[in-house]
Amino acid sequence: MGALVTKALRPIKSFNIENRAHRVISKEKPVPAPKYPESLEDLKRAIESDPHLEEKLDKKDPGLDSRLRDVYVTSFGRPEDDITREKRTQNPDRPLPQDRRIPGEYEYGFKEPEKVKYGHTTLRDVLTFISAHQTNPTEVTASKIALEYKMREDDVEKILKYFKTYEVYIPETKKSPAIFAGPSNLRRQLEKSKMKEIQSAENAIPKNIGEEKQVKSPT
Amino acid sequence: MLLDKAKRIVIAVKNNPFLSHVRNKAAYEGEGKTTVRVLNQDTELGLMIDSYATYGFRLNNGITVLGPMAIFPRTVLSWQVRGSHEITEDSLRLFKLLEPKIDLLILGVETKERESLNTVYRAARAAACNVELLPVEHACSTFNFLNAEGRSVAGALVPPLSIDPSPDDMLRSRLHYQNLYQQQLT
Repeated sequence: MGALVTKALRPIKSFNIENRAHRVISKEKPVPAPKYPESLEDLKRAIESDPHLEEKLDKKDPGLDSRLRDVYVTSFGRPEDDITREKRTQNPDRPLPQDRRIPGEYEYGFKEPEKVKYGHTTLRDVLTFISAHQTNPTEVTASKIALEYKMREDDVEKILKYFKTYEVYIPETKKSPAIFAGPSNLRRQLEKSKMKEIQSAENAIPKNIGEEKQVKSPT
Repeated sequence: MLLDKAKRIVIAVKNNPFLSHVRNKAAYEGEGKTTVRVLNQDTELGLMIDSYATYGFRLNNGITVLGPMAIFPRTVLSWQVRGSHEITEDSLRLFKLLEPKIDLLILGVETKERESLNTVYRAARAAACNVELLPVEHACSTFNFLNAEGRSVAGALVPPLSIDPSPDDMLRSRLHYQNLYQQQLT
């Protein structure tokens, strides 16, 4: 509502504004702003106490000047700035960030914790011990993993039972349809480090080609 | 009285769709100005599911995964369950123990039966996970979106039992496996 009133009054306020402005600007000497009655009283009192005040103020006073030269201020102790900074203590366990750079990409898409709760684990550790167990199930047993990673043996057993890493099959020829990753069996194929290749597309993939019509996009 | 009328006029002007500013700020900004971003093609956003089939899933890094899988922002593990009837507290144990904690576990199941869904839900409760229980078809896209937003999310997906593909899907899978445009006409 206020905005509407202002809008309505604007043309009245700005009537003949150009001329009025020029009149003010073209004056030789600007008219000084009137003084407050309190400051006028102060001025009167000062002149009463010393009639030559205005002349004195215009001149340089050697006495005051020499006094200023004689005085020298020194300080002892630590600067105040240091003390305030010290008082503003930080929690040493949770230091404030000093680095303003953008953190890089994390390998697993999130920052991995430095400390892990007892009985818990990180994705990196899980992947390591699952693959270690798969390559060498007799040696790397659940109890050993539990001891090493500080986990419950029951948990480790369940994880090893239900989760496996993948074995990658890459088709030999360009004609073969796709790359497949199937859950690896308890074999020692990862040790060979050579990827297992499907010899011919005919004997391994027809099952999937038959189903290819059923591929449907989720989005 | 006059003030009241003026107010009413202002409200009428604001509510008029032809006079509002919002109308000009719609998603479609005109020809050549609107852009589309396909999440699955952006490799920086992490691992996503491109398509699903009865035998598994195809991920956006070109790998086809066979069988049920446990998918994380940039990792994928095989999940050794045969169907939603095998989803128990034990088989979800890993998601409970992971650190940093998973904010949301997206559980994609192949059934729509009330009873088995109930058992799965109870298992998830027992595993103390925040669970979004969905049919796989929706679980895939939900996981993709949440992963693209950079959330701490994990997916446990069982491939669907059957699929009813649309002609568009058929064409897509054809295009994936063979180049349709370079084939000779018979």
